[in-house]
Amino acid sequence: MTKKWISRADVIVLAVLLLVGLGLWILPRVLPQGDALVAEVTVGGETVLELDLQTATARKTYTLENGVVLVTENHTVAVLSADCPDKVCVNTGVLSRVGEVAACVPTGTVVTVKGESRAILDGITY
Amino acid sequence: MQKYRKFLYAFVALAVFAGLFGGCAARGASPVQKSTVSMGSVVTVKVYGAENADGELLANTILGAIADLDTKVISKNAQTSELARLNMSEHPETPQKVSPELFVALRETKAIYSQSDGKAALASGALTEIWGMDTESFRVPFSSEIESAKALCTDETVLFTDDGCVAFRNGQTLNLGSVGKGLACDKAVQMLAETGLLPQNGGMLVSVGGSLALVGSPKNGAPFTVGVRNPFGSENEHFATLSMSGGFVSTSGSYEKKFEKDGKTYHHLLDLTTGFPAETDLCAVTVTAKTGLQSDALSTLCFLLGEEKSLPILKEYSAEAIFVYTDRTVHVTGGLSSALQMTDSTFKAEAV
Amino acid sequence: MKQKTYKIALMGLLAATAMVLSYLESMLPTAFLPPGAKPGFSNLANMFAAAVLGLPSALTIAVLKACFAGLMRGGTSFFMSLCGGVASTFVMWFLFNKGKKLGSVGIGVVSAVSHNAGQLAVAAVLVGNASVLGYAPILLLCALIAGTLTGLVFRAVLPALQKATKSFIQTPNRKE
Repeated sequence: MTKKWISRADVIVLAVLLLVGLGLWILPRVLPQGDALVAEVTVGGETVLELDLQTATARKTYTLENGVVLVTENHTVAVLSADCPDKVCVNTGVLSRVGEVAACVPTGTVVTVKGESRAILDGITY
Repeated sequence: MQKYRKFLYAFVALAVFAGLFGGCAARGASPVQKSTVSMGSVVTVKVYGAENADGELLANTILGAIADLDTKVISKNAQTSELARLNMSEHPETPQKVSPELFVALRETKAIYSQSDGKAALASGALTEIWGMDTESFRVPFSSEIESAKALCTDETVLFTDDGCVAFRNGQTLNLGSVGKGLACDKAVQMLAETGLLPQNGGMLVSVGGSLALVGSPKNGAPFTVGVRNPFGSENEHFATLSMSGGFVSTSGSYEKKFEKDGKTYHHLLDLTTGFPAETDLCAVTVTAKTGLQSDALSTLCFLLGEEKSLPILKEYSAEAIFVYTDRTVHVTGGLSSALQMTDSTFKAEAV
Repeated sequence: MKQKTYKIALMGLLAATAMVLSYLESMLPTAFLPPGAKPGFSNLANMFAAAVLGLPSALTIAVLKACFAGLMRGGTSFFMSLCGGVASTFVMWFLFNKGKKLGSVGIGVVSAVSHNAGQLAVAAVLVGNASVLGYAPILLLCALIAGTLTGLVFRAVLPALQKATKSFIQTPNRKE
């Protein structure tokens, strides 16, 4: 058992983890977004819904079979409500960037924002 | 154990930094991009894989060269251009010396259009003028105007001598408007070679109002991905993509420049034998060819001639084409089928 | 034999403590916390167990805590708590007994991080989608704070705990 409050090794660990955490946190915010944002909804690993966020302007709700309700508005997506005790998914809030996730573990639902790399053109002829 | 731990932490820290920098570097591989407006179109130069300073210099050099090409050589409107002054000559029947650059452009354009059964010509200026195409003040000309203009739109009276001179009938107007974008693409590639600013594994994409020049690779030897504009959609919508490792692409379409009068829509691709916009089931033709001039001229030619008659001519120039019809059927020549990928299921593609 | 009985009694106490702390934690308003993040004070009991009682006992307490979570908030909570708890218990036991350089803060942080890692792993399995790792950055950052606090609290209450349990067990002395 240790009598130490905090040691030098602790500070190193904290610093390293802090850097890793900040790095991981910044990453989605600086990466190029891609042209076509899509919200992919999976339940139990199977994709059940793909919502085109590019064209999602007016507020629209989608109710899944398992009772999870999603809402898209202004190029963003969020979990509006779900039949789960903790509501972590709902509290995750609004997703707008590539890589952002909202997950409801009890219902097995995951909403991920993806950027379609297919849409990244070098140029267009017209 | 303690010693190893320190190394472990250091390693993790390094890995994180490496990842972050690697990510930033990869983003740094996003191209240097510059645009201006020239020849009445948006001209964009994208330089891949070069140092920022080099890329900027190259892009600026090319944009400047294209602007000069327009104002000094091929523009029909700018009084300062060689072509404009040529058109204004009092005695054009007397062969006049022109710059090698202009000479080659004029002669090649005549050569390509000579296979159009008269529907396209180098000397199309007389007709494009009365339709207001050049100044974008579109109007429907009177039949009398059209008749007299038609007579002037023949290349039979446009002659080239071996020592670089041009002669044509008084009243005719030589017009490079339909190949200008292709010429600009060629110019861009020429400037690239001259400045030598592109590293070996780099790439360049130049877009002149939708005519493209592709050199090298955007990333690690991979080909360029070029979208083919959806004629029925908005500016950024494409119905297919082309995977191309270099070359020239141009598109002629009736959707680009058009105007309405008394309930009728008139597009800008004139059939010189009728004096009116070509009547066709085609709404766009995209051509890939060995030079920008060829791709631009051939796309106009194919649109006016129609698919059947165009195919042998395309073969002659080792060019490939995509024909898009108003009913959304798409015909693709053999050489392009593997490079083409449809991305819009409302269009149906067929190989021809 | 006396020691064994006392040990079991101590385990029972610690398990109960863990459950009470866990219950109190769940009462906290979650609105101000990032999704999935917890203050982590319920880990105090686990920490003490891992430090003093040895691996099997510590693991037992972690399992009991998971069962409690399962009864309170459903099957998924059981698995999440189990995975996270087992992972962090292993890590804590290792650090307490073998890792000489880390202080309480370090152990608290590493245990919090491994707890989250375990939870994310099982969450990914349960939803069949690795994208849940998208929560990793924010959870990691919160684990740093929570772990530090937990570690500090642990170190603070340690002398009192040691004193109280002195009669129960012989605590192996560690070189500082």
